Amino acid sequence: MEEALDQNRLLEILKGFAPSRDSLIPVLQAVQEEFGYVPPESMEQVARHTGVFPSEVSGVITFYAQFYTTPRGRNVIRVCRGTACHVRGAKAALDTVRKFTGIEDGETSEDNRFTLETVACLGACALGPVMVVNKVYYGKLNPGRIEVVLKDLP
Amino acid sequence: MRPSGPFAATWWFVLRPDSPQMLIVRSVYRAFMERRSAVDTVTISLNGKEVAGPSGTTILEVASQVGVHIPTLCHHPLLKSVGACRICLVEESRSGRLLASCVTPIAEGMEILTHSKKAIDARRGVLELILSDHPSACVICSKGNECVLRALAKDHGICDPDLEPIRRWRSMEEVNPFIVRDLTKCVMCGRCIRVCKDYEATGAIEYTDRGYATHPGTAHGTPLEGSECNFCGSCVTICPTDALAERNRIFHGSGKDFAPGICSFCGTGCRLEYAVRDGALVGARGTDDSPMNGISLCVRGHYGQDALSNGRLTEPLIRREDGELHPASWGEALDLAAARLKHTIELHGPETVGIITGTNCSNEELYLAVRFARAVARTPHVDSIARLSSATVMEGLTASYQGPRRPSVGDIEDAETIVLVAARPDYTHPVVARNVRRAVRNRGADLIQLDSLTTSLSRFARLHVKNGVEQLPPFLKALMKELVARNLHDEKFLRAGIKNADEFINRLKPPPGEKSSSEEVKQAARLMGRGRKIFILIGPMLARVTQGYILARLAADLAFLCGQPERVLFLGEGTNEKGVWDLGCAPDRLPGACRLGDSGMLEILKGLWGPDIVQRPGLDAMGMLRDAEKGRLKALVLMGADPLAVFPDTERTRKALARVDLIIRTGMFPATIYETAGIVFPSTAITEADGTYMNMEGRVQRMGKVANPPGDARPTARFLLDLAGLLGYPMGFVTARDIFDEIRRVCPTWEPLRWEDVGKSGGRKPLAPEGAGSSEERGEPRQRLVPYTPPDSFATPPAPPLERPFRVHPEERMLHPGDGVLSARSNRLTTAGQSSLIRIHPEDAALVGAKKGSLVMLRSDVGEATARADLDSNVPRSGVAVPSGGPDYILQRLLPWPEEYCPPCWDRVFVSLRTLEE
Ligand code: SF4
Ligand code: SF4
Ligand code: SF4
Ligand code: FES
Ligand code: FES
Repeated sequence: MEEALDQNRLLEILKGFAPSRDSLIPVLQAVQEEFGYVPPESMEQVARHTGVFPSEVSGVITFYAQFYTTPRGRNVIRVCRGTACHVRGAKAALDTVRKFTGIEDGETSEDNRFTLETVACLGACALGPVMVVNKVYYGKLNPGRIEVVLKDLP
Repeated sequence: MRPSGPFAATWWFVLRPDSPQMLIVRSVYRAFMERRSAVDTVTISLNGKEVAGPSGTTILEVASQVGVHIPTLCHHPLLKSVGACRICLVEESRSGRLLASCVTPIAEGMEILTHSKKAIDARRGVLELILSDHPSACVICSKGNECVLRALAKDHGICDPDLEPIRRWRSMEEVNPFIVRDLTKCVMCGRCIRVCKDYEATGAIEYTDRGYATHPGTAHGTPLEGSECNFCGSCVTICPTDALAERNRIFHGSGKDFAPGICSFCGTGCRLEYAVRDGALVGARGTDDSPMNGISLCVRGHYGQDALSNGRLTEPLIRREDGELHPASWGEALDLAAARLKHTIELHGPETVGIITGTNCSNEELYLAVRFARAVARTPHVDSIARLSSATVMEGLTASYQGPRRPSVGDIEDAETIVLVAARPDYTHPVVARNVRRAVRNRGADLIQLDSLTTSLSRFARLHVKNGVEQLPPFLKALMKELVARNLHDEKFLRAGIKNADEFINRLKPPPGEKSSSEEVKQAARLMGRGRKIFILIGPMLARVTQGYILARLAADLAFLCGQPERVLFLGEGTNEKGVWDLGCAPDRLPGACRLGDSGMLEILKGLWGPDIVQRPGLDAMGMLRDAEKGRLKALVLMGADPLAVFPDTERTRKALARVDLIIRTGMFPATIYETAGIVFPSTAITEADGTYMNMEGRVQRMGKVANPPGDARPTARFLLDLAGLLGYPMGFVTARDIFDEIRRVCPTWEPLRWEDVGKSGGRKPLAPEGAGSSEERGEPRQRLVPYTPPDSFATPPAPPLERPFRVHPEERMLHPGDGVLSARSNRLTTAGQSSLIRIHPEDAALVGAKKGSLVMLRSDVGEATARADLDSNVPRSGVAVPSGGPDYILQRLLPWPEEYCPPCWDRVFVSLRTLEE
């Protein structure tokens, strides 16, 4: 279990939003902005503040890919597995990332350094194989290039 | 615009639902909506015929009105349609478009074909897609012929869709004894989600995840038992497939026949259908013909009915020379009972005989009990266990209303402000809690909770005043003063409708210079202010506290002040708690809700019962126990009552009863704690005999025989009639209906009821015809309202003694309603666990060295009990929440007998806590 939720920080965030169900998504975004993820312990209070059932908060969080209920790594690596990248060797690229970081798709490393995700297409097919690290695109990947990029991450 | 950012708080001050500005907005809006109700008519062509409906009607609705059947799956008449499944596709022939008929409103000139080839093919296509990933295991499916999907497949001639399935195996994780969720069979119609969120307003489940993984899930994805779910079972009722099903149905088979009936677990009297197989009760389900509960039932009504057939008494028992109970025939047991009763009366006089009934006896049985006591045994000592569970509140309400009241559970839903006066309907009457939640969530009502404990309704409360019962009288008085001071009361109603209106209002006018009320009082007054529709719920706990009478009267006063006297409801716990008072099963009352001194009623009764009936007031149930203790009570007849389960100080009660020479008991089950009776007669369950019951609203409902009694169990009415016959007083009744008809002759308010009618939709107690019947029932009810007018100060509650520093907060438990005698027999309800836990604040727990799950001993000045502890920071400091009834009767062991002529004293109990083992 993570350390207990900082109630004061949560209350501070909630104060900025009208207690109405329209605020639900903005509130969740603000909570995620503050904590880096949406702590499950915060859901009850978010539900109370916005006047919805906790299950509805859960429903929204699990519906949108943008919300996470576990802490994320400092560096989020998203490797493309789309068709174009696949034919250009996305699998090898992914294997390199997995080996380097020691984590599987969807996981976060113990030291919180990396989170690894795979996506269906990053919209840069001509550059395949492609990965995005913290919003920066890296194309035409090969194992050497990947290691260079990852090595320098904090 | 949505207020957010730095000024959100200011905005919210204006926009919060109870701000003065918003109250005005709301009333304007209401007026606007009422005006808008005139609507246009729209005409369309349906399969070549012209049909019309008001605009906004869906194609499906007009079609069903003219008898055209369109198949549906995700649609349910009680729920908002969402158009999720597309099974209801129809063709619009001009555009050639396919429309989901359950969500498409009719438009002028539409030409709809419901059964064109295109429409049918489309529907088949949709169905094949749905069936492609549905397990084809219909043979062993517990929904069986009730499954909508199977019926659709049959109707559309689909056997094995020729599509490659994408299986969605989901594990079944629940361990609760009520509901199995096998989401592999889920078709994502969303009916369960809508019923839970909108119809029950519980919101335990919601669409979770996205795309192909979407499923109905709980917050955090926990199993149901870890969620907000209260196991009402409505999602099971409404799920078209076997994705949601009743657990353990296979053990007793599913119902072959369904018979209408009422639930006997609490005073709501929900209508339901009992499922019967070969004369045996195998389950229950909601129907939609009830003004109280619609299709809803609570966990007890839905899943606890196995109690009615578990561990029943099947033959009479007689305590023989060896001191043990041995089986006997009805003939022998009745002869013995009659002979010994006769002997007692001859030897010691009739006044050494007492009768105590349960609150689960039918109206007919209660009437017979009174007649038996006053005309056959010739004793005035007749009472019921309602003495402890409703007497003080009933006396209070009778004094304030001076006549019949007709509150309605349905009225809760259109209230704008609901006040819970120590009421926890979420535990005692879950279907009533449903109405409260619906009012709050679906209609924006405000909830004021006056309760020292936090309950599942607290999250819905706009204002939660954590006062203990002892602080409630001053709070209610302050609230009334605030209403008067701010001129928020309904002066016009008071002047026209109640006695001594001037004095009442003047007493509530605050003297000049009095310090202003607390924030809580002000907010409550604002929420109840003039013109707002209110509803006040009085919890059963109030009947068990020292100030119960005063509190009931103050609650009535509050309703008078708001000009809405009918909108007060006491949550009676027993199936027939209200019937007890209506039929005068009390030592100072007569049938027809009359006082003993009512000469008109006495005349009627003398004519029917014989001229020399006993007219003296007798002892109440506690008084009988006191007499028993002193050796003065020689014989006691217990009709469906188990004193050890309800009377305080279990040990003292047991000793007192041990001094009674002859105890005759009728009951469905062996004694709860200890058998005190010398002769025991097995009685029928509510499902096994004809009879009528009055729910807490005053609605008379009839129950017919739907199942066979076990062994030689017989109705308690039969027992009384036979006993009376053997004592030389044949009453001549053959059926329950005969008795019902005599009640109608006696009680003016019953006169318009017909046996046939009260069976169907539930008879409503009508107003007394002008000038008829007892003096109490005569005249215009409004003229007779009598305000209580609170005193200047109230008795200050005692402080806890040093050696017993913990105040007991009695707490009803949902799974074990009332005295807990019935629920204790349900395998499902008892295996759900948790019921015997006491709850304490974590810091108090630390003080006494208890942890979660520790075994602790509670000791009061009269007794001790052990229980496992649960920690909960919502329990007030220096307090301990103790279950109010069975199955362990912890509280009963700790409570002292009340002082003579005093109400019970559940609010005056203090205990010490000691940790026995961690
Ligand atoms: S049982 Fe009732 S509360 Fe529980 S999920 Fe179903 S509808 Fe909701
Ligand atoms: S569980 Fe039943 S009611 Fe709920 S979405 Fe699935 S099929 Fe529909
Ligand atoms: S609320 Fe009461 S009457 Fe209704 S189903 Fe539940 S226990 Fe039965
Ligand atoms: S397939 Fe990889 S970026 Fe499009
Ligand atoms: S019944 Fe109309 S879309 Fe499901």
